[in-house]
Amino acid sequence: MSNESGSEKRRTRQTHLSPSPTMSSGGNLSCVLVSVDGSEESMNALRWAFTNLKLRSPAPDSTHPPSFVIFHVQSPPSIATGLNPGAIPFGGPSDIEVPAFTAAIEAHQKRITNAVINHALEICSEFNVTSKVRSHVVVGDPKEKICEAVQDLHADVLVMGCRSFGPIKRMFLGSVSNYCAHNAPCPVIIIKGNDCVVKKN
Amino acid sequence: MAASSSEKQAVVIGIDDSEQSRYALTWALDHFFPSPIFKVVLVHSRPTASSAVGLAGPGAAEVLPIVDSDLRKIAARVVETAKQICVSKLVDDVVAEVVEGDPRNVLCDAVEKHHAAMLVVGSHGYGAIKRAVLGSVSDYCAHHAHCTVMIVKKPKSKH
Repeated sequence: MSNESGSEKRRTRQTHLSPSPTMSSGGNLSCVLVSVDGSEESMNALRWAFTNLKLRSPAPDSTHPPSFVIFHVQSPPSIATGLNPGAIPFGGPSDIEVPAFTAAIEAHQKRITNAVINHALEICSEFNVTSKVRSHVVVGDPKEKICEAVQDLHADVLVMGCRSFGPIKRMFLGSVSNYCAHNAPCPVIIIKGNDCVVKKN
Repeated sequence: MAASSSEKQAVVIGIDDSEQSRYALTWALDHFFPSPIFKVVLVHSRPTASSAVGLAGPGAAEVLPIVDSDLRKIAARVVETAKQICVSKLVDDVVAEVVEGDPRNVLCDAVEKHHAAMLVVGSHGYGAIKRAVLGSVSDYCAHHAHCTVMIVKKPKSKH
């Protein structure tokens, strides 16, 4: 019956208009990926995203509700052992030879990851958006994993902070932000850690 | 509650005559506007006539005015197209500027001048070699602008 198809068209158009007076209109994002690493700048980026980005109101028949995804990349244990300044008296072993050591490092990394995610979730509850937030942790190289995650999760936008190490280094982006800005398949928002970020009361 | 124009924070959107920059503008308008907290400032940087001609031969003096008026026409057309895109997205609080000079500096200066909260640029998606030779405006702006930067790339192929 032609009437049914007409009303269906009307229904889909309604979800795009989203006439809710309380939120600023223009909410059209279904998946926002915020990558955090434990630095204060990335937490600022999270706060900026919650303040300024509005998710699309969920369509009644969607299987994936719009959400913010907090994404953390844990460094793989091999890199951590490599960075450890020669405390191993065995003479340059690979991590396979010292499994207990690797396990200890992994446990430590996991503790860091949990601390980061918990801090991020605290920020979410400050903004009362916990229901719309998911968290995702992978192990690997941050640059590549972030770009992979954008593709896998079909993120609409990637939000990241960038670390500034001082007045000279502040001129440069961190290598991860730089890589992702060029290689991520979606728009990238880079939050600088200075007072241009305005907090809304 | 009608926020007066002066209370809104500026979002500077860099525009040029490319498909990627129109895509970036459209994306930004779709996802952030109309908005009670942001107002749009379109900034187009017009190359100077002497940089466009690139030669300092004897004939340059006659060619320059023609090139200059040509560049002005292109700039006007770019701004007009961008304004029409804004109007079609029902965004009417738009300010447009054409500034002569190198796009990198023009955009960063515009950010300072308007105390912008955010800068939106498209990206031509050059590879590493092209970027080294031609330079990348989005790269420069991401490094040097004193505000949040959003880089919007037009996807090359739809999966």
